[in-house]
Amino acid sequence: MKPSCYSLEELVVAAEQPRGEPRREHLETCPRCRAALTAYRDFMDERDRLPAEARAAECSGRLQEILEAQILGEPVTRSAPDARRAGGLRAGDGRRARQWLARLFVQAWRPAWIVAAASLVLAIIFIPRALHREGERGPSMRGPDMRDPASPGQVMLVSEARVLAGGDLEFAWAPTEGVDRFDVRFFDKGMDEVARRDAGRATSLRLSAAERTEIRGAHLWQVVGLRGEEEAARTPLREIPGPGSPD
Amino acid sequence: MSQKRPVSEPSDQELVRLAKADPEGEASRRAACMLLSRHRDRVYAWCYRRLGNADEALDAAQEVLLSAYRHLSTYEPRGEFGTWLYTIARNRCVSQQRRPSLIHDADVDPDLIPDPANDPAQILVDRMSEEALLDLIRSHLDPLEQEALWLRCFEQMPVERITAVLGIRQSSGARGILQRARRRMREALARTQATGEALGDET
Repeated sequence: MKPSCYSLEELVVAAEQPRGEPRREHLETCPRCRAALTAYRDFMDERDRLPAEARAAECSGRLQEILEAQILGEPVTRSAPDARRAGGLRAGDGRRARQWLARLFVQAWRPAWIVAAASLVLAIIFIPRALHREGERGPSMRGPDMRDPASPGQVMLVSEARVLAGGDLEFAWAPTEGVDRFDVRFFDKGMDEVARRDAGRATSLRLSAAERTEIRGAHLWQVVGLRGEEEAARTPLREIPGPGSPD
Repeated sequence: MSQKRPVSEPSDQELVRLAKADPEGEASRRAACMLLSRHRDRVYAWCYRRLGNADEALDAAQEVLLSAYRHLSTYEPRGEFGTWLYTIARNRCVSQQRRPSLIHDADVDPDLIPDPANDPAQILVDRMSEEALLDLIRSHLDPLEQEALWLRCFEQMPVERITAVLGIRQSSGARGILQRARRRMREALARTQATGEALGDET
């Protein structure tokens, strides 16, 4: 950057200044600063829609899941096509996993691998026996049973929303054992809940085009499975498809 | 329908303040998640426009957003949060793209690419400082050509995007502007070479 050029933060301010103001003057005569500000405005501009091959809604949903998993510690799930495309991992994890594996197989790690393999064989032999003996004594696990499919925090694996012919919206999710009823919750972009629908025991919810006005402003949806009044399971947050994308 | 809560939209700066207050706390993490969720579509769209591939863009957007989260404690709110996030995104994408030269650009002139290694104009450009190039651009190109060329060569913006952001209406879009700008640059460089001007050459 030339000494007389400004930082991006200053350029944003400079653009708001009256003509003749030194920073504004510089902005108008410096191609580098003009280009930097134009590129930033292009970043902030959300008017232009992406083409269909950008899979914007799907990628937006994936990014939201990743953010929630990484920041809030909530589990990431994905549909089967997503998992295939991402090699069963998050985007980018494939490359990182290959690098990690390459490091693991270097000569220096071979003794550790031999010990680990031997431990695994011993574990396969002895753990089932130990569990069998434990079963004979009766259950003694403390805390929530993680094998229970409806343990709190469990994520239901399948959920999808689609626009039907006529403009109706259908939300569907997998039946989940141990859940009494389902709530469908709608959130705006700021993650504020704007509406909620009790779906009872049904595993889908249909909103007519007229009913869609009731969720106006909503951007994301999620299904929460309840056992009594307690949350037993939920789907990841997903984007609500727009009216112009019928299946 | 029930429980319609009042929608209050905290500003980016309020969310940053909350997120930095107690980074390990639940409220701070929620604030950070809300802040980055608010920008995720913009980051993805920008990465997609730069990289032109959904999987690569998703990969890049994920890295940008998580990098922003990891470094949020170092962010000093001097301006819009977007400027900081944009800088991270730009650094992430620009580093993996091939930088078009001021003289040669296969996306603009696919039929007019001589061997850059033997092209005197390219050799001269390679030896000039960025400041000398900036002066050359300023003195030989009109403002639209200047900005289009700089966006292409230094911001590495795709040609179609330059057409859109600069609102170029002529049928050839930014391609025509860039071709003209490069022709003028070559002429200017040839004159520079002929007269033996130093133009910031430090060698």
